[in-house]
Amino acid sequence: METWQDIKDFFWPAVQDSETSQIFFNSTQALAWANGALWEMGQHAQYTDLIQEQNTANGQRVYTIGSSGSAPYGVWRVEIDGEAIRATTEADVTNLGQNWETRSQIPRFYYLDGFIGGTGDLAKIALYPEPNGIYELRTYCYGVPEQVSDSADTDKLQVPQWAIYGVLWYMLAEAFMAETRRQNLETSAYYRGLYDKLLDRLQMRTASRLPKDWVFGEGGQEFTRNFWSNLPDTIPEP
Amino acid sequence: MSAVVAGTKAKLQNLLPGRIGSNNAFSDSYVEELIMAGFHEAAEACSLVVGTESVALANDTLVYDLAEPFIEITQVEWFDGSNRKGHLTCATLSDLDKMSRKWWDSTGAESEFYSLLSAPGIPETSTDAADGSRILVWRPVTDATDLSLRVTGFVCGTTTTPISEDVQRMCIVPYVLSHLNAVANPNMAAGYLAQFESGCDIVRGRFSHRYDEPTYGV
Repeated sequence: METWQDIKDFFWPAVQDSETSQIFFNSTQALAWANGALWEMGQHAQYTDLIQEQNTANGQRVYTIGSSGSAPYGVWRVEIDGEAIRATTEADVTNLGQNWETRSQIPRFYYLDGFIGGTGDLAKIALYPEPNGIYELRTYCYGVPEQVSDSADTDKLQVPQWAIYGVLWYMLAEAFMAETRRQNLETSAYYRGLYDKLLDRLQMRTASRLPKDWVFGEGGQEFTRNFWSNLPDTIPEP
Repeated sequence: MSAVVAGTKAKLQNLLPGRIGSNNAFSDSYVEELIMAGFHEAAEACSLVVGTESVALANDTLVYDLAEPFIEITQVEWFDGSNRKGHLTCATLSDLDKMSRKWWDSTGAESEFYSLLSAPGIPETSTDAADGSRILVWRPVTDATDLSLRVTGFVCGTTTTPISEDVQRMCIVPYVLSHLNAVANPNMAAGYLAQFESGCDIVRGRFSHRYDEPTYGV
């Protein structure tokens, strides 16, 4: 089982219905349940990493990541010109003093809050200090799995192959929960249990995907935020 | 040992005579898909099947797609032609930060570390809404002539993967029976599912405790 068509081939007989007659359920419901499963699995297990690259512009503080309908769930790393910068909060930045908005140099921090409201689009990132030129901005995000559609039902589902049955169990749990003549709450609970267990395994597998039993050390003291904030743009020759 | 679908289906037909096949209660394709579902669950829970993928290295390339449906990656080695040159150590991106401030732009003659982007086993899709499974190899080599990676790990397996008869009997058969009873008798389905879990515990113990005495480094 790899594609949306494979899932449909199993789902319709399992609910004792067919894709052509659609007596108890319809294609819209099936699609909504499958995409609901993909959203939930992606958000809960954070199993897809999306790397986005764009250039900064002089004087532009805020950048959009992702696109409409596929905004990433979260950001886990940001680089400027290949070097990781650190996360901060809008409150910390604004508390720096009244001149924080006019400070302009190579960005060393990013923050994600402060964008709630307005369009409601959370897929934005702000840099501090404001870029004073063109730098390569690379953002590592938890991506949204690609949604399935009947017009592309031979596309592979963006789920680890061993976990693809989770989409099916979710759909069956929803189908047997729905108020139709096929409603069977015990069966729905059975499939929900299978789905929940698989979701937990997927989360564990994703979080521990590197067989890593040791950590790299770092010489010296960890740099503090004040150190990074106070670095000049360039250090002149002695 | 027999092919997982053929072997398990034969056992199910013995338990459910006359109920699997054309014009019977359960179609062949339905039962075969349930066998694969049970096989994937057991393979994930018990690390049943080992697989490898060879990835040809390219000059100055940091990230490569992984096509094999891995469940878990256990080892990454690099080869010059058919000669094994060594293994790569896994590292997070934060680890790489500590080794080189601008590691993304750094290249070298040999690669030493690898990291994984996205969970293993995700296929690449047609859009960039999110990406499939990839391996990041650091440092990227400047001259990749004849160089390749061999990625080893636990995989899903296919319909013809040979599986022990007792694994089929203890794990996959109760799993399929559980699903076949899910609508008519959910309580019985839960009982068969408990049998599946119990079977996986036994099988997992066999694979994870292979030595009766401590092992020694050589």
